[in-house]
Amino acid sequence: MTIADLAIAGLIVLGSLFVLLGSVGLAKFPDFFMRLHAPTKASTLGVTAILLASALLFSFRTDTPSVHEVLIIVFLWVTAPISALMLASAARHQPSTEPDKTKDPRQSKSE
Amino acid sequence: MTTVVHKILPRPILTAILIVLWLLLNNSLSAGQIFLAIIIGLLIPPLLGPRSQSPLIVKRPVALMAYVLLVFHDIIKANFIVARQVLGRNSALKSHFLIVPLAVTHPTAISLFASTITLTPGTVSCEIAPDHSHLIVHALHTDDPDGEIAGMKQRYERRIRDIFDESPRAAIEDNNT
Amino acid sequence: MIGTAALIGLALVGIACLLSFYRLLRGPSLPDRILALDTLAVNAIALILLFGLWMGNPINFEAAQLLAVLSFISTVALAKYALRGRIIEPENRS
Repeated sequence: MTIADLAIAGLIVLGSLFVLLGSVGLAKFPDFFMRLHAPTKASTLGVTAILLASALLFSFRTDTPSVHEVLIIVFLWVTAPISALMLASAARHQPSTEPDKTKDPRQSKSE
Repeated sequence: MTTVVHKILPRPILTAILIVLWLLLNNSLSAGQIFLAIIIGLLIPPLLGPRSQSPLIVKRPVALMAYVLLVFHDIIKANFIVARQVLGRNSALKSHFLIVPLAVTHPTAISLFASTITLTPGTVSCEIAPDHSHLIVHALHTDDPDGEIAGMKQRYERRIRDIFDESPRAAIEDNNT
Repeated sequence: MIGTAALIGLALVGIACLLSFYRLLRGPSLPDRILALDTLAVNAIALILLFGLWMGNPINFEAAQLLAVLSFISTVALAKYALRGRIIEPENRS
């Protein structure tokens, strides 16, 4: 049980660190498309780790497997790329208010 | 006989997914919940109307499992790479837009490929060309854009084509789902 | 021990919420703000789960689940609004 406790505590802290990392990336990157990278990957993985921790904890507590966490995990992983794609296409079709740090794709297309 | 089965179960896979989802949602395997799950699984698919496109058939389930494991491994790797990039200096990053030409043709396969790109190291797919000829992908940091494109096609797209046995013909036959 | 880990987690995610909130206020563009809201929702899911872990009470799951579904739908709707200037389009135009 102590090993399980240790694993659960580790997952909680690791997950929270990844969630924090996602938001740090969101706050510090200089342009929208770079900002998009951090929350789609790091935050989703962080929440996944926390969900796994709670699945483990409540499975041990109640002695019956607690599996509906899996539903949230799958849902988050399926929806993260879709919302990222929607936001990216919204951003690409909007006049940007700040200088783009990344190269314009139309230029690289004609290369 | 097959038409009767087809009428009751127009989309067997969707029915199975609905049953599993309902049981997961309630976190229970009691007889009542299973009964309710089966009712929902039988009731919803006929209400959905005709398919908007022919379904994509998984030809090699083992390859699909291997692909899921590979992507899972890459996701974990992606996160440690992103962690390093987030904590590093912004000026060290060279972002690029990449134009990835598509070899897969079916919309489901394209969305699987685009989602994989988003979840794996350093790249987010930003746009699917309306004619399905290419994807526009944003790379957070790359020294070699062409190598990146080739790597992604080699690592993921080739496997996706393998899973679905993708060829223009494959989209027409839809009898075994 | 799990309680301590959950408290540390709550502190870390709290900082994450502040950072997302900074991006929400700062902008500068509409997609930035939508992305910040989406991240804030993911952070809120993490907070709810951590709170549940701290209390040792599994009742919070439904809230986390609802928030996950709601945040996805609202992100898509807002992104579509940013893209087209409207959310529901007449059928013959799409």
